[in-house]
Amino acid sequence: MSVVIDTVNSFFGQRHDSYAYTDAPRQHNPSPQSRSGRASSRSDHHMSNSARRAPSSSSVQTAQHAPATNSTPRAPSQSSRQSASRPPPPEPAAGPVAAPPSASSLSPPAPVKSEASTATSSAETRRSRPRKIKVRDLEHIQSFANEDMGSFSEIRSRSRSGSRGAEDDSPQYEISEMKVEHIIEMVAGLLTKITTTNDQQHEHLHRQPAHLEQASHLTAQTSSVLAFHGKNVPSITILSYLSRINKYCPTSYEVFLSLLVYFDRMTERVNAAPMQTLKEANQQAFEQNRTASSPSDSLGSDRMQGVTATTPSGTQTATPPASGNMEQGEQQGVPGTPHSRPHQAESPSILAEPAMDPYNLAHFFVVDSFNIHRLVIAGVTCASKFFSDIFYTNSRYAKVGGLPLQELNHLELQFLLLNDFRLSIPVEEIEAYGTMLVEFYAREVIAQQRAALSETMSNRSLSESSGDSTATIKAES
Amino acid sequence: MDKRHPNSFQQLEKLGEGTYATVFKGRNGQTGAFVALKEIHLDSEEGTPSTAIREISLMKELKHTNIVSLYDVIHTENKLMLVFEYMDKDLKKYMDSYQSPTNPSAPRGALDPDVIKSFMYQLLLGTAFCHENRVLHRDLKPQNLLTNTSGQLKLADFGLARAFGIPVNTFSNEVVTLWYRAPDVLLGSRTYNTSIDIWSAGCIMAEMYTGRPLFPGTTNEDQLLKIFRLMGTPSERSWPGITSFPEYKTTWPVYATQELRAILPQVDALGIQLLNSMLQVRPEMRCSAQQALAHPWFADVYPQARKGEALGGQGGGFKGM
Repeated sequence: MSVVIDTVNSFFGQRHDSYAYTDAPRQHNPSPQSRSGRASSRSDHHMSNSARRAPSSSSVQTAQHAPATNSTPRAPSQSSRQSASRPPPPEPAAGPVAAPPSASSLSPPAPVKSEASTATSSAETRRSRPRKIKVRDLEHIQSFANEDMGSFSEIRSRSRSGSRGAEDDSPQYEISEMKVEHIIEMVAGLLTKITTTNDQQHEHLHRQPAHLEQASHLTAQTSSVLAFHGKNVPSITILSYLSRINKYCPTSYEVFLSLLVYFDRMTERVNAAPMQTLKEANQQAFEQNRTASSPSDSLGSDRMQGVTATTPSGTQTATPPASGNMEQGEQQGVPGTPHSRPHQAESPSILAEPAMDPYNLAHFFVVDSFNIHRLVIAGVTCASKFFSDIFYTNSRYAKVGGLPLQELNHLELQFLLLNDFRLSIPVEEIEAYGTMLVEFYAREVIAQQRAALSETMSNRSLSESSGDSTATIKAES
Repeated sequence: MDKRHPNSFQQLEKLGEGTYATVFKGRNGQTGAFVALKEIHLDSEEGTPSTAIREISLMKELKHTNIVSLYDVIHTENKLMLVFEYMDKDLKKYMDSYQSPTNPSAPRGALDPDVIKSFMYQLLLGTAFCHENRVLHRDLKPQNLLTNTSGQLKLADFGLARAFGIPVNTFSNEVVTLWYRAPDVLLGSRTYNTSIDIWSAGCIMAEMYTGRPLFPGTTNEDQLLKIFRLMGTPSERSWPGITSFPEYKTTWPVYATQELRAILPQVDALGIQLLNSMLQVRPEMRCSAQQALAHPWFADVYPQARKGEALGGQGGGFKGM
């Protein structure tokens, strides 16, 4: 049993202590060269703003910009071999407390927004759209990706990112019959892509720990966010981590798919407020004709320059949730506390919070390599309990996830808080995420092949390039 | 208890104790209004109970007159406190303490027909709303239906509830308190749907007439046999596919179908008709909540129940705390 704990704890390296980043040893694989050049402004924003309310193809789009694919999911056979070749995780018997599934629970996400009408109308919309493709496995995606490269073009995917309107006749992909392992591979591919890109864009963020530490007066929400932030990047890849979780805490696929929904929701919720503050502060600063005094405190103007001028996070939410967010009003008054009734006098609007330094990037929530593992294990813990009729004790999730039980308990609660305790996902939404995921994977397949092709043409060995593209997955303990 | 709500709720007497929570009556410090405070202990091994996660997540989406309102969630590191709309008593207690004033010969616990109709209507309204929103309650029983002095009835306790909609592997068949559990679930079905709540509703309707549970089984097997004794033992002929259920037994005694009317003489003809369509042994034969609501039996239901409004002004849903 202790073996398990030791082994997995090492994934995280040092236990994170708040967010005092030093220049963190980046154990994960540096991303391919080609990316940095390409990852220019536009795609940056899309990427780092990987949170979109609607199935955010926003994050997926970037795949288009960066055909070099550092995180490309590979052929399933390969990858399963890959994970199998990892030092085999301890036998379950040795470790995780056997926790018989608790009696009851849920499994499909789906409850729809309160209004029955919403459900009905969208259901009708769905019915009117005939093209629904049942995806069998990853090879299936590869095959239709190859046949129909044009249909996964960037433009198309972008046009559907905002809303999948009724006029949208592109196919929906139904993934419920795929093996969980295949779905995990796609999810891991997407998350790896998102984190890698966000890492690049937020490197400055990790280098500014001092300010954060001084901020003893963080908002509840900010400290919820920071709870996930590790000092170091865990040495285990996202794919291996998800596979490990699935091995010892098997659950239904929508638990993994729902992570994408929750991460998007959290990002949106958390970033809505500081973005607003930032806008207002900018406005204020502008009106004051640059009288220089930054509204809240000493962190002042030099940072402001940095932020507004060069960082993507300034702009990332400058195009806030394009899709009309119905819940926006409700979410306003909910920093860190799950209650959702905006008229509560005692609920501090996050904007009014004196601690809120508008230029402090710590207020932004960005999924990156420093927090993704904790987000994943906390998310799986919550989602399993919500969706699945089979779930486990937190002590098991903690062992499998490689973190102390107390920390997982804390993270679980923070995860719930950051989601406003709303884990329900309307059927249409979860289906849209499934489709989005398949589209992402298909584009990755294409991108990979194009890359391979051009590599070949430029007389570079194919094996080299494929080695490169899978390096992220392989690189780890 | 919470930074945000210092003493904002005065904790009054204990209302009940469940498997994972204790419920207190509470008073809002500012408005003086009563609330129900459900205190959930966060166990270290288990973390946040799945029942709490489901109850909160689902009830935040389900806003309806016939579903108890969740006002707020207050958290500390080792406790969650759910603040609910206050209701006077659950239907079980209501029945237990009820003696018909108009019909002194009625057994204790048996309700008056008008009240039954009103309660059934409200129960079905709440259930229909859940189903429209793709939520199965999965634990409908008198203890989980709350009433107030205004004659309102509301669904509570969504700890076993579950969202449905996208294809998933399986459902647990360890759901619903035995007496109200549908035969298909008892037979081991893991693909049940909204019809399991309708079965429960049918059992509750009968219980309101008699004051006693319709099928008070002791074990899974006994529960099935109690059902068969009344509804008849199903066979491949009456229920194609029944032999493939995990719990199917060739050793079941063969009971003939009885008339509900004979068991429940106090129910009028239309009521028996409705009951019959809710208590179909085969799930696909059971009516939906919407169909039940449209049944002519409800033609003369209290208009207040129809509108989902309180009968009087007293003690009903106080808005905003």
